Amino acid sequence: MPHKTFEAWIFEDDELEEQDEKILRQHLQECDQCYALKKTWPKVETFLITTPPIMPAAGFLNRWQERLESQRKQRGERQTLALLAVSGGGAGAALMLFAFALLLHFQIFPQTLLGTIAQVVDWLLFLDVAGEILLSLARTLPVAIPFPVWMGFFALTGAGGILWLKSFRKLAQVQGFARWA
Amino acid sequence: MLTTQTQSEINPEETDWIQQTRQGNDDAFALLVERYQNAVYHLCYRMLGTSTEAEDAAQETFIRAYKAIDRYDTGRKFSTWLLSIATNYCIDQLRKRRLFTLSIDDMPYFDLADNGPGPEGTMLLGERQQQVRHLLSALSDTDRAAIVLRYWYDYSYDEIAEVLNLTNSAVKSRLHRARLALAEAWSDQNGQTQIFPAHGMPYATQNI
Repeated sequence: MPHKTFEAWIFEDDELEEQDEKILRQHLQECDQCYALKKTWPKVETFLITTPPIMPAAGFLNRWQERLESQRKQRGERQTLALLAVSGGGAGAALMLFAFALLLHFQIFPQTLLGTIAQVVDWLLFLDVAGEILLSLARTLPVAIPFPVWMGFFALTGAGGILWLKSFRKLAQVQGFARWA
Repeated sequence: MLTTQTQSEINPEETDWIQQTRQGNDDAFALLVERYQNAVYHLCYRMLGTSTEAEDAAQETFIRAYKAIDRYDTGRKFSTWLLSIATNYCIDQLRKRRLFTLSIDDMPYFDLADNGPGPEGTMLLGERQQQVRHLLSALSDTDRAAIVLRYWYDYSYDEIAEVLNLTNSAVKSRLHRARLALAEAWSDQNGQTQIFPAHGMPYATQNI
C-alpha cells in the first residue's frame, strides 16, 4: 500500500473503517515517520482550531465608508480629466482635419492664387518645415492616392468621429456610474 | 471558528441587501460589510500576517465586492464569493511582496491588541498568534488559504474548491501537502521528533 494512503488516513476527519484502522495500527508499529505524524497531527489540528480568530479594530465600517468616498472622489476626478482629454483630443483632431481640408481645397485654385495663399498658409501655420510637409502632402496626395483609399480614409474619419461622440456621451452620462459618481 | 457567519445557505435577507445595493442603496451594502467584516479580516490576517495589511486587504475586498455586485450570481453563497475575492487579493499581495523578497516571518509583529483580554492575556494570545503565523508561513499562498478556510471557517472541500477555483481533488492534494508541512513545522517549533528526518521536507517551506 502506498505510504501516502497511510498519511491520508492519519489526516482523515471521519473515523476509519475497522479494517483500515487495523492496517494503519500495524503500519504505525513499523513506520517511525507515520508514527511521528500520527502523534503530531492531532496537536496541530487542535492548536489551529482553538486559536481564536483575529477581529478588526473597532470602526471598520466607518473606515470602509471613508475609503469608498475617497475612491469615488478620485474616480470623479479621473472621469473629469478623461472627459477633458476626449473633448480636447476631438477638437484637436477636428482642427487638424479642417486645416488639411483647407490645404486640399487650395490645390484646385489657379496656380497664382494658390502660390500666394499657400505662402500665407505656410507662414500662418508653422513658419517652418511642418507647413512645407503639409503642403507637399496636399499637392501629391490627391493624385497619388486612389479614390477608394480616399473613401476608406473618410469612412475611418467618420467612424472615429462616431467613436468620439459615443465616448463623450458615455463619460458624461450620469446613470452609467450612479453608484460611483 | 467563524462558522455562524459563513456556513449558512443562501440567505434571503442578504439577497435583499444585494438587490438594494444594486439599486444604489449604500446602507444595504453597509449591512453586508458589518456582517462579514470579521470573517474577511481574519482571512486576510491569516494570509498576510499583519493587522495593517489585513485591514487594507479587507477594506479593498469590500470595495471590490461593492464594485462587482452587479456581476454577483445570487445562486452562489455570498460568503463564498466574498472570501474568494479576499483570497485572490491576498494572494496577489503576497506575490507583490515576494518581489521584495520579504518573508511573512520578517514582517514586524506589533498588533493583536484589538480584542485583547488585558496585558498578560494579550501577551499569551500574541505568542499563540505568532506561533500560528510561523506555522502558516511554511505553506504556499494557496495551501495556506485552503488550511485557513478548512480550520477557521469549517469549509468543505467543495467550498474550498469554489473559493480557490480548484478541483475537489486538487484541494484534497493541497490540504494533504499542507498538513504534512504544518506537522513538520510544528515539530521544528516544539523540538519534537522530525517527521521527515531522512528526506527533508517533501515540499518547499521557504516559498513566501
